[in-house]
Amino acid sequence: MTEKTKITTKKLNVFYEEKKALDNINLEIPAKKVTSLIGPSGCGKSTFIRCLNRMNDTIETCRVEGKIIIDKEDIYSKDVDPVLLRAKIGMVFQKPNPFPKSIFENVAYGPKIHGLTNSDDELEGLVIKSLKKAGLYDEIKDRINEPGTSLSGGQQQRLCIARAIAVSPEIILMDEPCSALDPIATAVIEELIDELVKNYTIVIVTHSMQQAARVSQQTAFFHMGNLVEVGKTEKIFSMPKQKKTEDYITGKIG
Amino acid sequence: MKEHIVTTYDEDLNNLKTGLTEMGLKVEKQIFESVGLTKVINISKAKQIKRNDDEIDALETKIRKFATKTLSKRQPLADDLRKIIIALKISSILERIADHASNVASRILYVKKSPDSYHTDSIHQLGLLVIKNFSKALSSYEQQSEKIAETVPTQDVTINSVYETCFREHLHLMMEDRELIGFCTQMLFIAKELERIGDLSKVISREVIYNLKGKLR
Repeated sequence: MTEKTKITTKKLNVFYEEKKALDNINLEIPAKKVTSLIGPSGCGKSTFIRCLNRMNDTIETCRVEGKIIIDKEDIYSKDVDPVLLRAKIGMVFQKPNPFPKSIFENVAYGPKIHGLTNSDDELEGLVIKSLKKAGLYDEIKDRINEPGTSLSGGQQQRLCIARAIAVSPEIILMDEPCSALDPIATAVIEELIDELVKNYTIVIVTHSMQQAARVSQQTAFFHMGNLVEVGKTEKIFSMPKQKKTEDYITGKIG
Repeated sequence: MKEHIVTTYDEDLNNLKTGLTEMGLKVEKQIFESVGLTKVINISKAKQIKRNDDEIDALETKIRKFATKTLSKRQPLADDLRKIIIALKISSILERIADHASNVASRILYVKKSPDSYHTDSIHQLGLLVIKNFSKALSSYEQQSEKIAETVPTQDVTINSVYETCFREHLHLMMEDRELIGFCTQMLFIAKELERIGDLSKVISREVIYNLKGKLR
Protein backbone atom coordinates (compact mmCIF):
# COMPACT_ATOMS: atom_id res chain seq x y z
CA MET A 1 0.00 0.00 0.00
CA THR A 2 1.36 3.41 -0.92
CA GLU A 3 -0.48 5.38 1.79
CA LYS A 4 1.11 6.29 5.08
CA THR A 5 0.70 3.56 7.67
CA LYS A 6 -0.75 4.64 11.02
CA ILE A 7 -0.86 1.37 12.90
CA THR A 8 1.26 -1.72 12.36
CA THR A 9 0.90 -4.96 14.29
CA LYS A 10 3.81 -7.40 14.25
CA LYS A 11 3.49 -11.03 15.31
CA LEU A 12 0.63 -10.11 17.59
CA ASN A 13 -0.53 -12.99 19.80
CA VAL A 14 -3.23 -12.62 22.43
CA PHE A 15 -4.12 -15.20 25.05
CA TYR A 16 -6.96 -15.42 27.54
CA GLU A 17 -5.34 -17.68 30.13
CA GLU A 18 -4.18 -20.64 27.99
CA LYS A 19 -6.53 -19.99 25.12
CA LYS A 20 -4.99 -18.27 22.12
CA ALA A 21 -7.45 -15.64 20.86
CA LEU A 22 -5.22 -14.08 18.19
CA ASP A 23 -2.49 -15.91 16.36
CA ASN A 24 0.39 -14.07 14.72
CA ILE A 25 -1.47 -11.04 13.36
CA ASN A 26 0.57 -8.85 11.02
CA LEU A 27 -1.57 -6.01 9.79
CA GLU A 28 -0.95 -2.50 8.53
CA ILE A 29 -3.67 0.09 8.99
CA PRO A 30 -3.36 3.10 6.68
CA ALA A 31 -3.67 6.64 8.04
CA LYS A 32 -6.87 8.59 7.34
CA LYS A 33 -8.63 5.59 5.84
CA VAL A 34 -11.37 3.34 7.14
CA THR A 35 -10.30 -0.23 7.81
CA SER A 36 -13.09 -2.68 8.52
CA LEU A 37 -12.63 -5.92 10.41
CA ILE A 38 -15.02 -8.70 9.51
CA GLY A 39 -15.42 -12.30 10.58
CA PRO A 40 -17.73 -14.60 12.50
CA SER A 41 -18.42 -14.12 16.21
CA GLY A 42 -15.46 -15.18 18.32
CA CYS A 43 -12.95 -14.78 15.50
CA GLY A 44 -10.87 -12.26 17.43
CA LYS A 45 -11.78 -9.01 15.73
CA SER A 46 -13.04 -7.35 18.91
CA THR A 47 -10.01 -8.66 20.81
CA PHE A 48 -7.85 -7.13 18.10
CA ILE A 49 -9.51 -3.70 18.23
CA ARG A 50 -9.25 -3.73 22.06
CA CYS A 51 -5.49 -4.28 21.80
CA LEU A 52 -5.11 -1.09 19.81
CA ASN A 53 -5.95 1.13 22.79
CA ARG A 54 -4.74 -1.35 25.44
CA MET A 55 -8.24 -1.91 26.75
CA ASN A 56 -7.29 -5.54 27.25
CA ASP A 57 -4.96 -4.35 30.01
CA THR A 58 -8.00 -4.26 32.28
CA ILE A 59 -8.61 -7.97 31.81
CA GLU A 60 -6.33 -9.83 34.22
CA THR A 61 -6.23 -13.12 32.35
CA CYS A 62 -5.35 -11.45 29.07
CA ARG A 63 -1.76 -11.62 27.82
CA VAL A 64 -0.49 -9.77 24.74
CA GLU A 65 2.68 -10.72 22.81
CA GLY A 66 4.23 -9.05 19.82
CA LYS A 67 4.22 -5.42 18.81
CA ILE A 68 1.66 -2.79 18.00
CA ILE A 69 3.31 0.25 16.53
CA ILE A 70 1.44 3.52 16.25
CA ASP A 71 3.43 6.30 14.63
CA LYS A 72 6.74 4.48 15.18
CA GLU A 73 6.05 3.90 18.88
CA ASP A 74 5.36 0.47 20.36
CA ILE A 75 2.27 1.09 22.48
CA TYR A 76 3.04 -1.87 24.74
CA SER A 77 6.47 -0.52 25.73
CA LYS A 78 6.91 0.44 29.39
CA ASP A 79 7.22 4.17 28.68
CA VAL A 80 3.71 4.42 27.29
CA ASP A 81 1.01 5.72 29.60
CA PRO A 82 -2.22 3.94 28.64
CA VAL A 83 -4.31 6.91 29.75
CA LEU A 84 -2.51 9.26 27.36
CA LEU A 85 -2.63 6.59 24.68
CA ARG A 86 -6.41 6.34 25.03
CA ALA A 87 -6.70 10.11 24.63
CA LYS A 88 -5.12 9.62 21.22
CA ILE A 89 -7.49 6.79 20.38
CA GLY A 90 -11.23 7.31 20.69
CA MET A 91 -13.60 4.39 20.92
CA VAL A 92 -17.27 3.90 20.10
CA PHE A 93 -19.10 0.79 21.21
CA GLN A 94 -21.95 -1.36 19.96
CA LYS A 95 -24.42 0.00 22.46
CA PRO A 96 -24.42 3.78 22.87
CA ASN A 97 -23.16 4.45 26.41
CA PRO A 98 -23.53 8.13 27.27
CA PHE A 99 -22.63 9.11 30.84
CA PRO A 100 -25.64 9.82 33.07
CA LYS A 101 -24.99 13.52 32.65
CA SER A 102 -26.13 16.30 30.36
CA ILE A 103 -25.32 16.29 26.66
CA PHE A 104 -22.85 19.12 27.29
CA GLU A 105 -21.14 17.33 30.17
CA ASN A 106 -20.81 14.13 28.16
CA VAL A 107 -18.69 15.89 25.58
CA ALA A 108 -16.90 18.22 28.04
CA TYR A 109 -15.80 15.34 30.27
CA GLY A 110 -12.74 14.24 28.28
CA PRO A 111 -11.31 17.72 27.61
CA LYS A 112 -11.79 18.52 31.32
CA ILE A 113 -9.87 15.53 32.69
CA HIS A 114 -7.13 15.92 30.12
CA GLY A 115 -6.99 19.69 30.78
CA LEU A 116 -7.33 20.54 27.11
CA THR A 117 -8.96 23.94 27.56
CA ASN A 118 -8.09 27.01 29.60
CA SER A 119 -11.45 28.69 30.06
CA ASP A 120 -15.16 27.92 30.16
CA ASP A 121 -15.65 29.76 26.86
CA GLU A 122 -12.98 27.68 25.24
CA LEU A 123 -14.52 24.50 26.61
CA GLU A 124 -17.97 25.49 25.34
CA GLY A 125 -16.48 26.19 21.92
CA LEU A 126 -14.83 22.78 21.85
CA VAL A 127 -18.05 21.01 22.90
CA ILE A 128 -20.04 22.77 20.18
CA LYS A 129 -17.35 22.06 17.59
CA SER A 130 -17.30 18.37 18.53
CA LEU A 131 -21.10 18.10 18.43
CA LYS A 132 -21.06 19.76 15.01
CA LYS A 133 -18.40 17.35 13.74
CA ALA A 134 -20.51 14.45 14.93
CA GLY A 135 -23.46 15.86 12.99
CA LEU A 136 -25.57 16.22 16.13
CA TYR A 137 -25.45 19.90 17.06
CA ASP A 138 -28.30 21.20 14.89
CA GLU A 139 -30.67 18.57 16.25
CA ILE A 140 -29.96 19.19 19.97
CA LYS A 141 -28.70 22.78 20.29
CA ASP A 142 -31.82 23.84 22.25
CA ARG A 143 -31.52 21.06 24.82
CA ILE A 144 -27.80 20.81 25.37
CA ASN A 145 -28.30 20.67 29.13
CA GLU A 146 -30.75 17.78 29.02
CA PRO A 147 -29.50 14.30 29.93
CA GLY A 148 -27.58 12.46 27.20
CA THR A 149 -29.76 9.44 27.85
CA SER A 150 -32.86 11.38 26.71
CA LEU A 151 -31.67 11.22 23.11
CA SER A 152 -32.68 8.56 20.57
CA GLY A 153 -30.34 5.59 20.02
CA GLY A 154 -28.83 7.04 16.85
CA GLN A 155 -28.36 10.43 18.51
CA GLN A 156 -26.79 8.79 21.56
CA GLN A 157 -24.32 7.02 19.30
CA ARG A 158 -23.42 10.32 17.65
CA LEU A 159 -23.07 11.84 21.12
CA CYS A 160 -20.55 9.09 21.92
CA ILE A 161 -18.70 9.95 18.70
CA ALA A 162 -18.71 13.65 19.69
CA ARG A 163 -17.36 12.64 23.11
CA ALA A 164 -14.64 10.56 21.44
CA ILE A 165 -13.51 13.32 19.08
CA ALA A 166 -13.60 16.09 21.73
CA VAL A 167 -10.18 14.99 23.00
CA SER A 168 -8.70 15.35 19.48
CA PRO A 169 -7.83 11.72 18.91
CA GLU A 170 -5.95 10.56 15.84
CA ILE A 171 -7.60 7.20 15.67
CA ILE A 172 -11.22 6.21 16.19
CA LEU A 173 -12.08 2.61 16.97
CA MET A 174 -15.65 1.53 16.39
CA ASP A 175 -16.92 -1.80 17.63
CA GLU A 176 -20.14 -2.53 15.72
CA PRO A 177 -21.31 1.07 16.09
CA CYS A 178 -24.54 0.57 14.12
CA SER A 179 -25.73 -2.85 15.19
CA ALA A 180 -28.23 -1.39 17.67
CA LEU A 181 -29.48 1.29 15.26
CA ASP A 182 -32.24 1.47 12.66
CA PRO A 183 -31.35 1.91 8.94
CA ILE A 184 -31.79 5.69 8.97
CA ALA A 185 -29.62 6.22 12.05
CA THR A 186 -27.12 3.80 10.49
CA ALA A 187 -27.03 5.84 7.29
CA VAL A 188 -26.39 9.01 9.32
CA ILE A 189 -23.46 7.35 11.13
CA GLU A 190 -22.04 6.02 7.86
CA GLU A 191 -22.29 9.47 6.33
CA LEU A 192 -20.46 10.77 9.38
CA ILE A 193 -17.70 8.14 9.01
CA ASP A 194 -17.15 9.34 5.41
CA GLU A 195 -16.68 12.84 6.80
CA LEU A 196 -14.52 11.88 9.79
CA VAL A 197 -12.07 9.85 7.71
CA LYS A 198 -10.70 13.06 6.24
CA ASN A 199 -9.09 13.77 9.62
CA TYR A 200 -8.97 10.48 11.50
CA THR A 201 -7.80 6.93 11.02
CA ILE A 202 -10.82 4.72 11.59
CA VAL A 203 -10.97 1.03 12.45
CA ILE A 204 -14.45 -0.45 12.48
CA VAL A 205 -15.67 -3.89 13.47
CA THR A 206 -18.88 -4.78 11.68
CA HIS A 207 -21.07 -7.81 11.07
CA SER A 208 -22.69 -6.18 8.07
CA MET A 209 -20.76 -7.01 4.89
CA GLN A 210 -22.67 -4.28 3.10
CA GLN A 211 -21.61 -1.75 5.71
CA ALA A 212 -17.96 -2.79 5.38
CA ALA A 213 -18.28 -2.50 1.61
CA ARG A 214 -19.86 0.94 1.89
CA VAL A 215 -17.67 2.66 4.47
CA SER A 216 -14.19 1.17 4.31
CA GLN A 217 -11.24 1.35 1.97
CA GLN A 218 -9.44 -1.64 3.49
CA THR A 219 -11.01 -4.83 4.81
CA ALA A 220 -9.45 -7.53 6.97
CA PHE A 221 -11.10 -10.91 7.40
CA PHE A 222 -10.48 -12.74 10.69
CA HIS A 223 -11.30 -16.37 11.30
CA MET A 224 -10.60 -18.38 14.47
CA GLY A 225 -7.95 -15.98 15.67
CA ASN A 226 -6.17 -15.78 12.32
CA LEU A 227 -6.00 -12.95 9.85
CA VAL A 228 -7.11 -14.83 6.74
CA GLU A 229 -7.03 -12.05 4.20
CA VAL A 230 -6.58 -8.30 4.03
CA GLY A 231 -6.88 -6.07 1.02
CA LYS A 232 -8.72 -3.28 -0.72
CA THR A 233 -12.38 -3.50 0.25
CA GLU A 234 -13.55 -3.51 -3.34
CA LYS A 235 -11.31 -6.49 -4.07
CA ILE A 236 -12.34 -8.43 -0.97
CA PHE A 237 -16.04 -8.17 -1.80
CA SER A 238 -15.82 -8.76 -5.52
CA MET A 239 -12.98 -11.25 -5.90
CA PRO A 240 -11.47 -12.41 -2.60
CA LYS A 241 -8.29 -14.45 -2.92
CA GLN A 242 -9.06 -16.93 -0.17
CA LYS A 243 -11.85 -19.48 -0.42
CA LYS A 244 -12.51 -19.02 3.34
CA THR A 245 -13.19 -15.33 2.79
CA GLU A 246 -15.50 -16.00 -0.12
CA ASP A 247 -17.45 -18.63 1.82
CA TYR A 248 -17.90 -16.27 4.74
CA ILE A 249 -18.99 -13.19 2.82
CA THR A 250 -21.36 -15.15 0.60
CA GLY A 251 -22.77 -17.18 3.51
CA LYS A 252 -21.73 -20.68 2.46
CA ILE A 253 -21.07 -23.90 4.37
CA GLY A 254 -20.28 -27.54 3.56
CA MET B 1 -19.51 -26.85 -4.61
CA LYS B 2 -20.31 -25.37 -1.24
CA GLU B 3 -23.87 -24.51 -0.46
CA HIS B 4 -25.35 -21.43 1.14
CA ILE B 5 -26.51 -21.62 4.72
CA VAL B 6 -29.84 -20.29 3.41
CA THR B 7 -30.91 -23.03 1.00
CA THR B 8 -33.48 -20.87 -0.79
CA TYR B 9 -30.57 -18.67 -1.87
CA ASP B 10 -29.08 -21.62 -3.79
CA GLU B 11 -32.52 -22.26 -5.30
CA ASP B 12 -32.74 -18.64 -6.46
CA LEU B 13 -29.34 -18.79 -8.12
CA ASN B 14 -30.17 -22.13 -9.75
CA ASN B 15 -33.49 -20.82 -11.04
CA LEU B 16 -31.70 -17.85 -12.54
CA LYS B 17 -29.26 -20.13 -14.33
CA THR B 18 -31.99 -22.46 -15.55
CA GLY B 19 -34.06 -19.54 -16.80
CA LEU B 20 -31.13 -18.08 -18.69
CA THR B 21 -30.14 -21.43 -20.19
CA GLU B 22 -33.72 -21.97 -21.37
CA MET B 23 -33.73 -18.53 -22.93
CA GLY B 24 -30.41 -19.36 -24.61
CA LEU B 25 -31.81 -22.55 -26.11
CA LYS B 26 -34.83 -20.67 -27.50
CA VAL B 27 -32.50 -18.09 -29.04
CA GLU B 28 -30.35 -20.87 -30.48
CA LYS B 29 -33.44 -22.30 -32.16
CA GLN B 30 -34.27 -18.87 -33.59
CA ILE B 31 -30.77 -18.55 -35.08
CA PHE B 32 -30.97 -22.09 -36.42
CA GLU B 33 -34.32 -21.44 -38.14
CA SER B 34 -33.26 -18.10 -39.59
CA VAL B 35 -29.98 -19.54 -40.92
CA GLY B 36 -32.09 -22.29 -42.53
CA LEU B 37 -33.97 -19.57 -44.44
CA THR B 38 -30.74 -18.54 -46.18
CA LYS B 39 -30.67 -21.98 -47.80
CA VAL B 40 -34.36 -22.54 -48.45
CA ILE B 41 -36.65 -19.53 -48.39
CA ASN B 42 -39.83 -20.23 -46.47
CA ILE B 43 -42.21 -17.32 -45.90
CA SER B 44 -44.36 -18.93 -43.24
CA LYS B 45 -41.28 -19.96 -41.25
CA ALA B 46 -39.91 -16.42 -41.51
CA LYS B 47 -43.17 -15.05 -40.13
CA GLN B 48 -43.04 -17.58 -37.31
CA ILE B 49 -39.50 -16.48 -36.37
CA LYS B 50 -40.64 -12.89 -36.13
CA ARG B 51 -43.55 -13.86 -33.92
CA ASN B 52 -41.30 -15.91 -31.60
CA ASP B 53 -39.21 -12.83 -30.90
CA ASP B 54 -41.87 -11.45 -28.53
CA GLU B 55 -41.56 -14.58 -26.44
CA ILE B 56 -37.81 -14.02 -26.10
CA ASP B 57 -38.30 -10.39 -25.10
CA ALA B 58 -40.69 -11.59 -22.40
CA LEU B 59 -38.10 -14.07 -21.12
CA GLU B 60 -35.54 -11.29 -20.82
CA THR B 61 -37.98 -9.20 -18.78
CA LYS B 62 -38.67 -12.20 -16.56
CA ILE B 63 -34.94 -12.77 -15.91
CA ARG B 64 -34.41 -9.11 -15.21
CA LYS B 65 -37.23 -9.02 -12.67
CA PHE B 66 -35.97 -12.16 -10.98
CA ALA B 67 -32.38 -10.90 -10.87
CA THR B 68 -33.49 -7.56 -9.42
CA LYS B 69 -35.51 -9.34 -6.76
CA THR B 70 -32.57 -11.60 -5.88
CA LEU B 71 -30.21 -8.62 -5.66
CA SER B 72 -32.48 -6.76 -3.27
CA LYS B 73 -33.37 -9.82 -1.25
CA ARG B 74 -29.91 -11.36 -0.83
CA GLN B 75 -27.53 -8.44 -1.28
CA PRO B 76 -25.04 -10.83 -2.86
CA LEU B 77 -21.26 -10.51 -2.78
CA ALA B 78 -18.26 -11.99 -4.60
CA ASP B 79 -19.10 -14.95 -6.89
CA ASP B 80 -22.83 -14.71 -6.12
CA LEU B 81 -22.82 -11.08 -7.16
CA ARG B 82 -20.95 -11.88 -10.36
CA LYS B 83 -23.42 -14.66 -11.19
CA ILE B 84 -26.31 -12.22 -11.05
CA ILE B 85 -24.50 -9.46 -12.90
CA ILE B 86 -23.61 -11.76 -15.77
CA ALA B 87 -27.15 -13.19 -15.87
CA LEU B 88 -28.41 -9.63 -16.41
CA LYS B 89 -25.80 -8.94 -19.08
CA ILE B 90 -26.14 -12.24 -20.90
CA SER B 91 -29.95 -12.05 -20.96
CA SER B 92 -29.75 -8.66 -22.63
CA ILE B 93 -27.15 -9.96 -25.12
CA LEU B 94 -29.39 -12.95 -25.90
CA GLU B 95 -32.28 -10.60 -26.54
CA ARG B 96 -30.10 -8.65 -28.99
CA ILE B 97 -28.98 -11.84 -30.72
CA ALA B 98 -32.62 -12.87 -31.10
CA ASP B 99 -33.30 -9.47 -32.71
CA HIS B 100 -30.58 -10.15 -35.27
CA ALA B 101 -32.11 -13.56 -36.03
CA SER B 102 -35.49 -11.90 -36.41
CA ASN B 103 -33.95 -9.29 -38.73
CA VAL B 104 -32.70 -12.10 -40.97
CA ALA B 105 -36.30 -13.32 -41.20
CA SER B 106 -37.47 -9.78 -42.07
CA ARG B 107 -34.97 -9.56 -44.95
CA ILE B 108 -36.22 -12.92 -46.23
CA LEU B 109 -39.80 -11.67 -46.13
CA TYR B 110 -38.62 -8.69 -48.17
CA VAL B 111 -36.92 -10.69 -50.95
CA LYS B 112 -39.63 -13.38 -51.02
CA LYS B 113 -37.73 -15.69 -53.41
CA SER B 114 -34.23 -16.46 -54.58
CA PRO B 115 -33.39 -15.52 -58.24
CA ASP B 116 -32.61 -18.53 -60.47
CA SER B 117 -29.17 -17.16 -61.32
CA TYR B 118 -28.06 -17.01 -57.63
CA HIS B 119 -25.87 -20.07 -57.03
CA THR B 120 -23.94 -19.75 -53.81
CA ASP B 121 -24.52 -20.98 -50.31
CA SER B 122 -21.65 -19.05 -48.72
CA ILE B 123 -23.98 -17.07 -46.42
CA HIS B 124 -25.60 -20.28 -45.27
CA GLN B 125 -22.13 -21.63 -44.50
CA LEU B 126 -21.38 -18.45 -42.56
CA GLY B 127 -24.61 -19.00 -40.64
CA LEU B 128 -23.63 -22.55 -39.72
CA LEU B 129 -20.34 -21.32 -38.25
CA VAL B 130 -22.21 -18.65 -36.32
CA ILE B 131 -24.65 -21.19 -34.83
CA LYS B 132 -21.78 -23.45 -33.81
CA ASN B 133 -19.96 -20.65 -32.05
CA PHE B 134 -23.11 -19.41 -30.34
CA SER B 135 -23.77 -22.93 -29.05
CA LYS B 136 -20.26 -23.06 -27.64
CA ALA B 137 -20.73 -19.73 -25.88
CA LEU B 138 -23.99 -21.03 -24.41
CA SER B 139 -22.43 -24.32 -23.22
CA SER B 140 -19.53 -22.42 -21.67
CA TYR B 141 -22.16 -20.63 -19.54
CA GLU B 142 -24.13 -23.75 -18.77
CA GLN B 143 -21.05 -25.77 -17.80
CA GLN B 144 -19.17 -22.82 -16.27
CA SER B 145 -16.24 -23.81 -18.46
CA GLU B 146 -13.39 -21.42 -19.03
CA LYS B 147 -11.90 -23.90 -21.49
CA ILE B 148 -14.93 -23.80 -23.78
CA ALA B 149 -15.30 -20.02 -23.36
CA GLU B 150 -11.70 -19.49 -24.51
CA THR B 151 -12.41 -21.16 -27.87
CA VAL B 152 -15.21 -18.73 -28.79
CA PRO B 153 -13.11 -15.61 -29.62
CA THR B 154 -10.70 -17.73 -31.68
CA GLN B 155 -13.55 -19.12 -33.75
CA ASP B 156 -14.96 -15.62 -34.20
CA VAL B 157 -11.80 -14.64 -36.09
CA THR B 158 -12.69 -17.33 -38.65
CA ILE B 159 -16.28 -16.09 -38.80
CA ASN B 160 -15.08 -12.56 -39.55
CA SER B 161 -12.87 -13.72 -42.38
CA VAL B 162 -15.67 -15.86 -43.85
CA TYR B 163 -17.89 -12.77 -43.64
CA GLU B 164 -15.31 -10.74 -45.59
CA THR B 165 -15.19 -13.46 -48.23
CA CYS B 166 -19.00 -13.46 -48.53
CA PHE B 167 -18.93 -9.71 -48.90
CA ARG B 168 -16.39 -9.76 -51.78
CA GLU B 169 -18.14 -12.66 -53.45
CA HIS B 170 -21.48 -10.81 -53.45
CA LEU B 171 -19.86 -7.63 -54.82
CA HIS B 172 -18.57 -9.68 -57.73
CA LEU B 173 -21.97 -11.28 -58.28
CA MET B 174 -23.57 -7.84 -58.42
CA MET B 175 -20.95 -6.50 -60.81
CA GLU B 176 -21.43 -9.47 -63.11
CA ASP B 177 -25.22 -9.50 -63.08
CA ARG B 178 -27.17 -6.31 -62.39
CA GLU B 179 -30.34 -8.35 -61.97
CA LEU B 180 -28.91 -9.73 -58.73
CA ILE B 181 -28.22 -6.34 -57.09
CA GLY B 182 -31.49 -6.16 -55.16
CA PHE B 183 -31.30 -9.71 -53.86
CA CYS B 184 -27.57 -9.65 -53.08
CA THR B 185 -27.91 -6.39 -51.13
CA GLN B 186 -30.45 -8.06 -48.86
CA MET B 187 -28.19 -11.10 -48.53
CA LEU B 188 -25.30 -8.83 -47.52
CA PHE B 189 -27.48 -7.32 -44.82
CA ILE B 190 -28.25 -10.85 -43.66
CA ALA B 191 -24.54 -11.66 -43.61
CA LYS B 192 -23.99 -8.60 -41.44
CA GLU B 193 -26.71 -9.72 -39.00
CA LEU B 194 -25.03 -13.11 -38.72
CA GLU B 195 -21.61 -11.58 -38.23
CA ARG B 196 -23.03 -9.49 -35.36
CA ILE B 197 -24.36 -12.66 -33.70
CA GLY B 198 -20.78 -13.93 -33.88
CA ASP B 199 -19.48 -10.83 -32.11
CA LEU B 200 -22.14 -11.06 -29.41
CA SER B 201 -21.35 -14.76 -28.81
CA LYS B 202 -17.84 -13.60 -28.07
CA VAL B 203 -19.20 -11.12 -25.51
CA ILE B 204 -21.10 -13.96 -23.79
CA SER B 205 -17.91 -16.00 -23.51
CA ARG B 206 -16.18 -13.00 -21.99
CA GLU B 207 -18.90 -12.70 -19.33
CA VAL B 208 -18.49 -16.39 -18.49
CA ILE B 209 -14.77 -15.85 -17.93
CA TYR B 210 -15.51 -12.79 -15.79
CA ASN B 211 -17.82 -14.91 -13.66
CA LEU B 212 -15.13 -17.54 -13.13
CA LYS B 213 -12.06 -15.37 -12.77
CA GLY B 214 -13.48 -12.06 -11.55
CA LYS B 215 -11.43 -10.19 -14.11
CA LEU B 216 -12.67 -8.01 -16.93
CA ARG B 217 -10.60 -7.99 -20.05
